[in-house]
Amino acid sequence: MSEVLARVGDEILEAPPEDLYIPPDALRVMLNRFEGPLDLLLWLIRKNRFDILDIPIADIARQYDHYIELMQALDIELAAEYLFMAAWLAEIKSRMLLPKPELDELMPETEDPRAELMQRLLAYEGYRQAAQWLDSLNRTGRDIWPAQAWLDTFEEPQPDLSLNALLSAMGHVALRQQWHQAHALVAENIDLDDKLSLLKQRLPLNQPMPFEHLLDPAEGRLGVAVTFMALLELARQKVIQVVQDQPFSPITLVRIA
Amino acid sequence: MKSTPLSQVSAILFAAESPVDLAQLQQATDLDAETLHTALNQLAEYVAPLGLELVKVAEKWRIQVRADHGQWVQRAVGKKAPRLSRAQLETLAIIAHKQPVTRAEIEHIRGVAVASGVLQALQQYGWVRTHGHKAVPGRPALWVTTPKLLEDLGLENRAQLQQQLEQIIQQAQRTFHEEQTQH
Repeated sequence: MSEVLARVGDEILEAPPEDLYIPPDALRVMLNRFEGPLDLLLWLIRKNRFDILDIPIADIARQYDHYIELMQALDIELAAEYLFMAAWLAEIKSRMLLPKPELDELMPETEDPRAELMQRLLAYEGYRQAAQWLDSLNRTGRDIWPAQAWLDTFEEPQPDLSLNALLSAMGHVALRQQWHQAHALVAENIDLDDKLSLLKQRLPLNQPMPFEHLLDPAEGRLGVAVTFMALLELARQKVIQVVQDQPFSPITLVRIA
Repeated sequence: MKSTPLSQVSAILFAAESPVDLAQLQQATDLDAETLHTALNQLAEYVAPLGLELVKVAEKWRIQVRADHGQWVQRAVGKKAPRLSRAQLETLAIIAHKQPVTRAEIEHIRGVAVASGVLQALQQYGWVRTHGHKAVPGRPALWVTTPKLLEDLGLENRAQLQQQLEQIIQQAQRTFHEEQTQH
């Protein structure tokens, strides 16, 4: 499959004629379409009809550098990979120039310096064609149209609704609205700290005292709760000892500190 | 109207939003595999005059517009799905053939960095996804293709896709060498 550069009438050009003046903008478009250094190299090899298994490295490196210069002159943003490839080509070229060591039976055959480049070019060429094949396949939404029938019953069945039911619901809401009351926060009128110091005052050292004696009936349930919390806090501080013989039996307190 | 294996299979396939496999048909209809196959064969004959065809993709069945009738649908719908860029196609080809594969491996083959938009777009189409990490420093994500890619391209299974790609790659490399040396 050969790369088409341009079509002039019926004639297909694969490479620009040597003497053709190409406007910089057109050249920019052409140079911009390369997908990277491997793509550019494959194009050069095709254009020159070089043998991929025996690439004339000096020729290809010279042409590659020429295109890189062109791209730089046209202010095309060059990916670093293009420059890396230029350096690699130069390296291969210089290694090809070195005299080959005399081959003898004991020496393993030295590898062709171009081998890795050749392999990468071939691998990329494979995927380039594979990509074209993928593109040629029929694709759902472009060439393939799945057929579908509409299924109504997937939707939840709708409940009945009458105007009367709606109005009566509205009436209930309005009624409930009247009962609605914001929750009022009442400041705690029995202070835990006060209770703590009171307990300490009222408990003589080492004299057991029933829990009930410390309660003030006027303080109600809240008084019991706060006194109990104070008791727990003092027990935690190891100021008092709490004694209860069995569950639900009277609690006795002893001040130990 | 009475319900038959043909009508049941037909209803399921037309209503399904994605291709349906044999197990799903069996579960829905309580019919045995042989009866279902007969019904599927009948269905294929019934839909043909309607400009439709029954096809098997990714081991599942789907009813679709017959290939020779796509042009009419195309005209009615008006717009075509966008063409994929070369970068997208090449990246997809590499993932499909070499999966699981890391981004760095894709970049090495293509010889250029993979723009993040490329993998993102392929992921958005639902064709590729990451699946685990490679056990090397940095633990790079591994990319694989999805069953949706097979469905969308009308391919039967992943092995078939990889086999086809392998053939094309081999062929491309061979002809590249021959085509160049003939001259």
